[in-house]
Amino acid sequence: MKSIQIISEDIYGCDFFKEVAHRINREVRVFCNSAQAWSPKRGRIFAASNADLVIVCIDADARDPEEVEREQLKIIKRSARSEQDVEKRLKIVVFSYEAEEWIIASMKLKISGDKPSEVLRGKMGYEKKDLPKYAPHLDFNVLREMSVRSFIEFEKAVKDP
Amino acid sequence: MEIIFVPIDYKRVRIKNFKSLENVEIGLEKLNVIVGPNGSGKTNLFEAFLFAKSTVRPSIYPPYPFSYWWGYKNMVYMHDISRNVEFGVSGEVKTREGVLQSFSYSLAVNGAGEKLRIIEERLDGGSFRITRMGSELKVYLHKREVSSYEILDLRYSVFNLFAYPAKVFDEERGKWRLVLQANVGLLNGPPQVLVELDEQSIDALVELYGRLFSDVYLLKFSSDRARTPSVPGSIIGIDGYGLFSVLQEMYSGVGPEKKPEGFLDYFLDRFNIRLRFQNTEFQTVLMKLVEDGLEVEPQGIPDGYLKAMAVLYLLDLKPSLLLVDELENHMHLKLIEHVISAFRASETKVLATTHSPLVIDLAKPEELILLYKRGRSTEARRTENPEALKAELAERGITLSESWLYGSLSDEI
Ligand SMILES: Nc1ncnc2c1ncn2[C@@H]1O[C@H](COP(=O)(O)OP(=O)(O)OP(=O)(O)O)[C@@H](O)[C@H]1O
Ligand SMILES: [Mg+2]
Repeated sequence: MKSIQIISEDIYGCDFFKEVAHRINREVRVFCNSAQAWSPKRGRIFAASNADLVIVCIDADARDPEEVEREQLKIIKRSARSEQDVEKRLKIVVFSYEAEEWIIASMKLKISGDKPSEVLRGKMGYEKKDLPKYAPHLDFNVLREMSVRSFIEFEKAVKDP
Repeated sequence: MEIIFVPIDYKRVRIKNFKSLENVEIGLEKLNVIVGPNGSGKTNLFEAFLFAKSTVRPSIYPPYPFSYWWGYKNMVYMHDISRNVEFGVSGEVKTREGVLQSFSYSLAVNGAGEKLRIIEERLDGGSFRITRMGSELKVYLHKREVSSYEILDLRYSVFNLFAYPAKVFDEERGKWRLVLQANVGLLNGPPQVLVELDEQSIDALVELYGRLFSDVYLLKFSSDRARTPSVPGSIIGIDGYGLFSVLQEMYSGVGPEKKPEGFLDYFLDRFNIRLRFQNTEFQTVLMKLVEDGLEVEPQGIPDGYLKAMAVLYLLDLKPSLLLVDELENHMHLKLIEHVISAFRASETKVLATTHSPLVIDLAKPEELILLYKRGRSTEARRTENPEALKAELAERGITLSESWLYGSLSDEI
């Protein structure tokens, strides 16, 4: 069985991504660790992990997603085993804001520039630790229809690690 | 919907003459990770809050906050009993309506001859102020003295000298008033302090009076103490004793299908643990743990689980400030990631001491408080330029803990 290592900012992200990954592909083993977005620890995890694929999740928080991806790539490459290993095993998934945007999109809520978690907090008293509870309810079709880039890339990576 | 209400934001503390903390001032962030070599004063910093809390909110009467240290002599810097131990804190207090009011509070204590005397005390909440010098206590409003008292027993702080304050509406004048009842056995003077103030300031003062330091929780966990069967109705001690009782209270009458709500529920759910309680023939409570259908006796419960449960139980009480000495003890990376995620997701400010690279690497440089000894005294500092440090570490592929152990952060001190 193929294996995937996910890196997320906290365990709530971990639990959420693990469940979504399993909904996409039952036939993978998924591990997850938390590490600060800026931290070289992310590079260490990538280098040490023997998983077939390492998915690095990163919030752009409304910054330019390409720049955010470049920064992550730099951190990972600094500790990587080799250039080829980065090409072969690394997938960086950048969220325009944060993972909660999948929930917002799936529920077809309007956000107009607000932070998704803030919108959810206002609407239903959402707290960070509620994130995993939404994983079973995400409507993947809606996410695909709405071309939520982070989701489409995540799905593609998990389908074929 | 439950509103998360954490009324006091402790922003800065200043400690003088407490053990090795001869004169230390630190600002508090949402998460504070205290690091430093053995003997640098991490536990002393933790204990300084214990001292302040047990002086202001005594658990025994008459108050005697020195017993934890076996006397004042051991607690004061260099055993110099001529010095006063001082603790000051400033921050903001938030009312239920969400109004913020800044406050500060400080006290200076002496315990020469093992007798507790509060030498100086000052509570400042906007235009309202109480000051005390020796046995003289004065109340000010807009810098004008409104009442004065003689203190009959120097062991009591202003939080005991006056009874819990009330907000009353003066129909005739159409104005709000703050009323403080003087504790007649402890104070000589008018039976009450009555001041006219705007409603929001009164609300803030009432919160402050009711909560300052009682909403600071401390944990210096001992797994042996935590797994000792405890008396029903106990509260959890600083060492974790009473854990079984408080958990029984929290979960009694709750079926196994309870939906995850708090941080502790989340943990139990995530690790697939159920708790089972049993009252012993000695009138104590013991706890068993059911893991995948296997019932585990108290002696068999993993230390790390007990530790995580104690930390998350306290976090669920929504204190304004939670202090944990040696956070990493007993916990594998998985549990450390778990509790630090919970800290960040909570409204509580957390101060945790650690030696562990695992903990440090989950922190941001600006969250570190670096302790070191200069001569006999502990010095505390934050990293000078956290953003530059992040960039430097990313550039070199060096983790925060490596920098602290071998690199720039070790050079800084
Ligand atoms: N009354 C005192 N006056 C001055 N210094 C004191 C006093 N009492 C203790 N100390 C100093 O404090 C030190 C212990 O500090 P503390 O327990 O806070 O260390 P720590 O940083 O928690 O270390 P560890 O990592 O080993 O737990 C002692 O070694 C001693 O030097
Ligand atoms: Mg210590």
